[in-house]
Amino acid sequence: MDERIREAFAAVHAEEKFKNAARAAVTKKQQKKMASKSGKRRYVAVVASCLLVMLVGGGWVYATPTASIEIQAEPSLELTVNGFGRVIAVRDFDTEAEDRVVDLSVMHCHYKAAVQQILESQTMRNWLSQGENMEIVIRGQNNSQCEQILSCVESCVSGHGNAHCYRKGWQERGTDDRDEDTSIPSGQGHNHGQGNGHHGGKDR
Amino acid sequence: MRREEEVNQAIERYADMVRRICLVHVKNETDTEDIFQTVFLKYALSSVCFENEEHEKAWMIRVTINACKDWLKNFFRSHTVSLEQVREQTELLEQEHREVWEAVISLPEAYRDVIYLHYYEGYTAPQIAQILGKNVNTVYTRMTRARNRLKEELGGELDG
Repeated sequence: MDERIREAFAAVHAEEKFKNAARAAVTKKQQKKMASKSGKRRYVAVVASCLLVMLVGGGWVYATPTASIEIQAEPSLELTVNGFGRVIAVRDFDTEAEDRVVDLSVMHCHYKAAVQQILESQTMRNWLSQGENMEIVIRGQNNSQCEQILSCVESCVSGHGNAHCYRKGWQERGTDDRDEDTSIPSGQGHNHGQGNGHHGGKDR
Repeated sequence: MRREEEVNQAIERYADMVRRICLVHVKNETDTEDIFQTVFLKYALSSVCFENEEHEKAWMIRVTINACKDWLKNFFRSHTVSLEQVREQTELLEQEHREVWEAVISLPEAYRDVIYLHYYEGYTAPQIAQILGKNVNTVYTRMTRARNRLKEELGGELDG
C-alpha cells in the first residue's frame, strides 16, 4: 500500500510548460528589476552631476572677487570681498603687521564685521588715536555692491574724524589713489603713500 | 535577487515536487501554472541563505503549500472548480496511480500534505510538524486518520 502511494506520487512530473512559465516570469521580473535599477542609477548619476556642478559652480562664484577694501594705515591691509559680501582674502602690506592680521581672523566674515574688527583692533586704535590719517579705498566691478560697501564702511568710521573713504575703479591698481581723476572721494582724501600696489603685499 | 542560473537550477530540482504539492491542493492547470510562477519568483526574490539542500527543500515545500492555501482562499476559485477539472489533472496517469491520486485528493485538505510529506518525501512526524508549523501530536493524528481513510478507499495494509 505504501509502495502504491509512493509510486503514484512518483508518477507525477512537472510538465515543461510549467517550468517554462516559471522561467519566463522570473526572467521578466529580473529584467524589470534591472531596468528599474539602471533607471535609479541614471537618476543618481544625474543628481550627483547636478550637485557637483552646483558645488564647483558655487565654489567658483564664492571664490571670485568682486570688490576690495583697502585700509591704508599702519599696517595697511586689503580685504578681498566676493559677491556675497564675504572676505575671501586678506593681504597686509607690512611685514610687521603679519601677526596682527592673523589674530584678526576676518576670513569668510562679512566685510562689515571684518572692517569693524580691524578698526577695533588695538593697533588701529593706537594709529587713529595718534591723530594719523586712515584712508579706506573701495574698489569693485559692481556699482551697487561698491555703493553698499562704501556706505557701510563710512558708517563704521563715522566716529573717527581722521578716517576717510573713497571709491575707485576695479582696474585702477598700482597707481596713486589721490591723483586718479576717477576717484570718488567720500571724505577728505589724504595720501598716505601706502596701500594696494605700493608695497610688496602678502596674501593670506 | 538570485541569479537566473541559480533559479533555473532550482526549477529543475524542485519542479516535480512543486507539481505534486499543487496536484494535492489545486484543482486545475491554470492555477498550477500561477503557483509555479509565484513559488519560483519568491525563490528568485528571496534573500534567505540556505544552510544546506534540506533547508532549501523544506523552504520550498512551505512556500508551495502556503501559495496553494492562499490560492484556495480566493472565494471565486474555491467555489468554481468542477469535479471534471480535478479528474483532468490525473487523466494522464495510469489507472492504478489515478485511483491513488483520487483517493488522496478526496481526503480533507489538512491531511493531504501530511500524506505527501510522509509517504513520498519520507519526513517523520516531528519534521512535518516543523515544516507545516503544527504541533507534532496534530501531525500524528492527521497521519493516522488519513491512513485509515486511504485504507478504506484503496484497501490493503499500510506500513506506517
